Amino acid sequence: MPTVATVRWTDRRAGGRADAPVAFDPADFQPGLATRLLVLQPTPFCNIRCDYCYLPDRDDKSRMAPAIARLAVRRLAEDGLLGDRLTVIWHAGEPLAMPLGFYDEAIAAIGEAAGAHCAVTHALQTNAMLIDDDWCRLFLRHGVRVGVSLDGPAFLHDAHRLSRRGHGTHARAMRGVERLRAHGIAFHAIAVVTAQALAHADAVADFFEALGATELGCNFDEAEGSHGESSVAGREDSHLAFLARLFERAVAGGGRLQVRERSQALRRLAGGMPPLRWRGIDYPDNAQVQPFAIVNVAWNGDFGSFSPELLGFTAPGHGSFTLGNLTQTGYLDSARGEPFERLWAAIRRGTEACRRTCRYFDFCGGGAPVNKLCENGDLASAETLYCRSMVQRPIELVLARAEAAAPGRLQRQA
Amino acid sequence: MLSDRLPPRADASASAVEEQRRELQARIDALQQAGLLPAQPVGDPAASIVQWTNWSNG
Repeated sequence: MPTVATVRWTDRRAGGRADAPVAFDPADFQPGLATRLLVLQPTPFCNIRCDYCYLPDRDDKSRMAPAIARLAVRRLAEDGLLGDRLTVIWHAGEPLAMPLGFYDEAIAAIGEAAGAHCAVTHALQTNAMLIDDDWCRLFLRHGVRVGVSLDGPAFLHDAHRLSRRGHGTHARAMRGVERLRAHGIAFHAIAVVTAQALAHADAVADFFEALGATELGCNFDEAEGSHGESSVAGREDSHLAFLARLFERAVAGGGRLQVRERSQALRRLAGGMPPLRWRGIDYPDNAQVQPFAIVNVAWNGDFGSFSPELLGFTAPGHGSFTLGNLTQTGYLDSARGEPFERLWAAIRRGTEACRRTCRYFDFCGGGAPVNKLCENGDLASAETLYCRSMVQRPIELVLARAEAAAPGRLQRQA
Repeated sequence: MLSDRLPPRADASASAVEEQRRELQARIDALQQAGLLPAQPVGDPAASIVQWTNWSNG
């Protein structure tokens, strides 16, 4: 069976030109295209000032109206992009900076717009500082899945996650976590792994084991948006060692510490990517390179697709990555135009570059467009620090550990 | 050395990349045949919310 890596889907387009604009038609995808993730940004405002934040408008206190949330899903339904399940993530800036009542209204509105045939899961990523008993009751009322942003023990967390007055935020975030525990609310955690953390894998593992989070995601410190430089750049061997130790701890812990990067690598290696075809040829099932698999909506109804961070960004040759505003246009209508075609063509070129040059392509499917843009200055480029940190190193670590576990068995197989 | 296995740069030739892919797949196949690596995905990836929030700082 041909793999994605052995089929050059761009070769069949416009005489082999990967950059030829192609009108987007969701019917060209099999199985049919459906939005899997809807990222709703209820406010750009954030109550803290992490020094690695990529968001440019953290002081803007604008707020989404519940009608925008309803419209975000109604437009999906109108465009045939609503499948049988949808994950909604409330994210960026701090979602708990919104009034609590907003979520009661918005979640009800989304449920109405989605209808009975679509199971909607709500999730929220928060710095945890504003969590109190009322928020906990809301999470329970609506089954909201909670992710907390914590970088580990206080000495790591407080080095970067700062209040608006420049003080550490760890203690207050932990008070929020305590409320979650008191209400029996399961939560996962996301840590931004900075250069300081790289020598402290055991301290990070100890912290998150004790925290009781269901899963830990280790986002490395990325260079994006208003945060122009990654502290992990130039320290990739140290990042490898950090991940290796964290994976060892995950194995040794017998399930007490679930590390997303390890789980994802195992999943990628076990199953590759599920089959997806575009105009009869294989296309990578990577949501970040598929139109409208991920939809991102800002407080005012501006929307984008592909990498979530692109919404609100501009770049030479592309202008704004905002595709439209929900109050004026639907998702598919926004795709019927030159700006979208140019954007998608650049993302396809980048995906094709990955296919040509990367041994891991069958397990990744073209990386993250926003990192290509921010690191390489070109959506049409291939490898990034993101690729090496989030895909390649985890895969190599999982393989190396398995090979080291029973070399005799491997030799006999050979 | 794990770092020796880091991937080719973008100027790698197509044949070199194909060879690296074959080597990678051979390693995976050997591990799966030896029962050292799952051959089927475990769990429902859609059940993990954290899979979706791997895109940014914060």
